[in-house]
Amino acid sequence: MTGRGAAKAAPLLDVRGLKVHFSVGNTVVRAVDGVDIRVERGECVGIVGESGSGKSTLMRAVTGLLPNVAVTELSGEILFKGSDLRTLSGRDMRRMRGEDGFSMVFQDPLGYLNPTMRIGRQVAEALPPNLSRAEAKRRMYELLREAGLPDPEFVAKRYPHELSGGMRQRVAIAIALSASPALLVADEPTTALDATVQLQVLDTLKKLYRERRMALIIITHDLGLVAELCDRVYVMCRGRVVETADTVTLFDAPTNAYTARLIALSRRDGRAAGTEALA
Amino acid sequence: MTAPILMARGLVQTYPGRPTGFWSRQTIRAVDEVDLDVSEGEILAIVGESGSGKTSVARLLLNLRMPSSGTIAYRGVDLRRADKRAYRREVQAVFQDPASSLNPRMRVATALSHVAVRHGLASGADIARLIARHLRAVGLDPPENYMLRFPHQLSGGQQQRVAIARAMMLDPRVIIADEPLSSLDISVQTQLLELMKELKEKANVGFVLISHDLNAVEAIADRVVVMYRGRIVEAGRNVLAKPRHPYTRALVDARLIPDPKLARCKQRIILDGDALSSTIVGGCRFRNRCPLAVSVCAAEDPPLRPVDRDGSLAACHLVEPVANPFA
Repeated sequence: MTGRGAAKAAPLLDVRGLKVHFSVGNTVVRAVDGVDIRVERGECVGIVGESGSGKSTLMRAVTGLLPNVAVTELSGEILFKGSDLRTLSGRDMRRMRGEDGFSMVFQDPLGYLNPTMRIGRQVAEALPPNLSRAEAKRRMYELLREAGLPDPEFVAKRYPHELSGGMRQRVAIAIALSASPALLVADEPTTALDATVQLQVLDTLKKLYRERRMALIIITHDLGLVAELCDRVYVMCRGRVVETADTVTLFDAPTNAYTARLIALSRRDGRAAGTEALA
Repeated sequence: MTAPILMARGLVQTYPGRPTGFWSRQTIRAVDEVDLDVSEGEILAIVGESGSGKTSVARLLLNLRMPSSGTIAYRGVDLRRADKRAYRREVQAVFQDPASSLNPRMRVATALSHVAVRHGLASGADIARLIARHLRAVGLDPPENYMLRFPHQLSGGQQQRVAIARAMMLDPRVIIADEPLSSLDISVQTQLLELMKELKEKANVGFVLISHDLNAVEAIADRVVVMYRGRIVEAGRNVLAKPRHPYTRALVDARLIPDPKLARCKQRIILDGDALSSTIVGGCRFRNRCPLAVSVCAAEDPPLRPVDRDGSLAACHLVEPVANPFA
């Protein structure tokens, strides 16, 4: 499952001792404070935590999307397919976002779809530039269909505001898939969606990562999402990983008190959880 | 059980939709013939997908919009004739995004003192005491720590508590809370649900809780109303435990289960599309997504009728009505 020969030993993504500190006023916020994460090819990994736990900052650092304005410290290694992303030039980093690299899906697709461009062009834009017009169009339709939009000819002619939230998220997924990534990082991909639509998008993600043998990192506050989808989970609290286990073990027998509380709360089991604040 | 304090009958809210021709426009019936009763000391939850009309109902109940037709009566008096100022005082609102419902340039104490002064609740040094009391009541204790802060210096949960304190200052009979939990962490959600329960019991406040989170609703609601495309499709006390309408069943089914073993073997109905994706004319409006739809569903719009002796109502041709629910 993990690929050929030597590649088998090295994981797809290997984050070692990552620290991201911000300065806010006079204080230093240790958003990510010494985190190790490994993701194998074709594996679905969940990163859970409450707001402020550092889960989004972690993945922003990994994908190189961190604004460097207020960052006072960024240290540790981010090995993707064996090369440290932190040492790559802009050009090599761009390559990493292409074929067999990584791509991202965020919570609110309206925030990063171009409001003045029809969907079809936005998806086609992300395809490799050397394709012929007809070929690009064919691939574009294919991607939209694969992302679970049954009528791609209709969708391609729309503007983002004409689509529902679920459809926009699927367009975002189609764009993310255009480079055939080896790793897809999804930051709260279903949080803004209705429960029924969430289930549809979940189903699509599940299908995609199985069929494409793509690794998937789901960043979420929702343990339900993790339980449904992920093979392995990292639980984060205040910038650190407090527990990691395969999903079934984590839910059956959490070893960390914070994890246990989080699970009890998500099951609305008030007595086990208590009512005081977590973090 | 007391008589309902807030009663809505046949509420309709239409909005102009997309153009259908050069001169004509579609009319969207966001709220369509909705009847609602809210009692003091009761938590009534309204659930449904986006586009089901739940927020439109909230706006109507808050008198932020006049309904296209239908009436709202408060303490038996039609709202069009009622004393608006008293109504504003007794029916309060808490919104989804606490950051945008608090003035970013006002400290907590300033924002709350405006309410006190505007409604003549207190004067002079009493204002600070009043504010302190209400902040303490919503769990912001000691209040001195919070009074001089700006909204951005508070966490989301604290902001929402301030919004609730502001609503509670006027000693309201009903609080209409439109998705008050959705931007908050689960531990904070649990605390706020506890707070609402406490306010309901201690101050006998009625709540209209609008939410898409069935787990949260199930934890505290006395009664649940399920809306779909402007209509009430199911209502009752045990709706989530014992859903009858196929839409409610799908909603209940769509909840994610925080247990991998159960989650992965569960067979679910996954609905196609969303509530807004198509317009259907005549018949049941859920039929194009309904896994059980039969021919009668296209022919007749099912009325909301009693389906259980516990007073549950459902609008579906396939749910057997009970002949005499009160027998």
